[in-house]
Amino acid sequence: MTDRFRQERIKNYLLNQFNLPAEQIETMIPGFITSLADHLAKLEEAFHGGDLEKLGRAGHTIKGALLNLGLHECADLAYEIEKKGKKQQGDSELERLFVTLRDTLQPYLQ
Amino acid sequence: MLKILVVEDEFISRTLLIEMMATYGICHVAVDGREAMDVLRRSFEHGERYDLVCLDIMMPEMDGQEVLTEIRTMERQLGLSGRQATKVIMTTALTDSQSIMKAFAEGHCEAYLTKPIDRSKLIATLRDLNLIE
Repeated sequence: MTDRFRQERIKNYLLNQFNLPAEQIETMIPGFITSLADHLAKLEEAFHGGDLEKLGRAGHTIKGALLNLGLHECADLAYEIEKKGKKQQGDSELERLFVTLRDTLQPYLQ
Repeated sequence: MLKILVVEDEFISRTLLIEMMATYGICHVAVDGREAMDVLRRSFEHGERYDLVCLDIMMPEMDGQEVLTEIRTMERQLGLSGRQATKVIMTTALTDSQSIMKAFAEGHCEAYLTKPIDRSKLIATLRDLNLIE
């Protein structure tokens, strides 16, 4: 998938889901990408800091953003991270979830 | 014109909700429960209440449930009920819907919407609540 295709995917989702003018969506996209990058950075910080409660909250926050951008598979990963963070389950599965989410999202953020 | 307060801690969700709601009235924003409480208290004190509050249920520090309880408490104190009461739509991810169902079932909020907010469902909800034609 090319970067252009990824951006188009988000734009089309926003057009269909929210019925906002294409021009408006164009102006919103850069801010949304920046916001998504911030959310991912917070998730990463919590993960590397070993703060599972913070990771759970960061997972919840990014999940909301991902749902609104139509990135449902990523939202599912974020939800799993949220649950494990809140249950204080810092295991290899959590690591796998985090790495998969990060690697899937990074191409969208360029 | 409706006076609407959008309470949502996540930037993307907040921006999209405001953009949709701006069609129907004046939109104010609170980015967390504490700010929402301050804004709502001031609005009650100055007789400038909101017609509609769109309230995210899960926010850090103070969640939507607490804000909702505070709205209803202030209304009770002022003897406001029925049609005079603030309409509250709670928003959530489907995964968090249990706590919304509780608030909804207990009659404390009028409606709930799950993320991603569907524009047609939002409009239908606003009509059901007699906020728009």
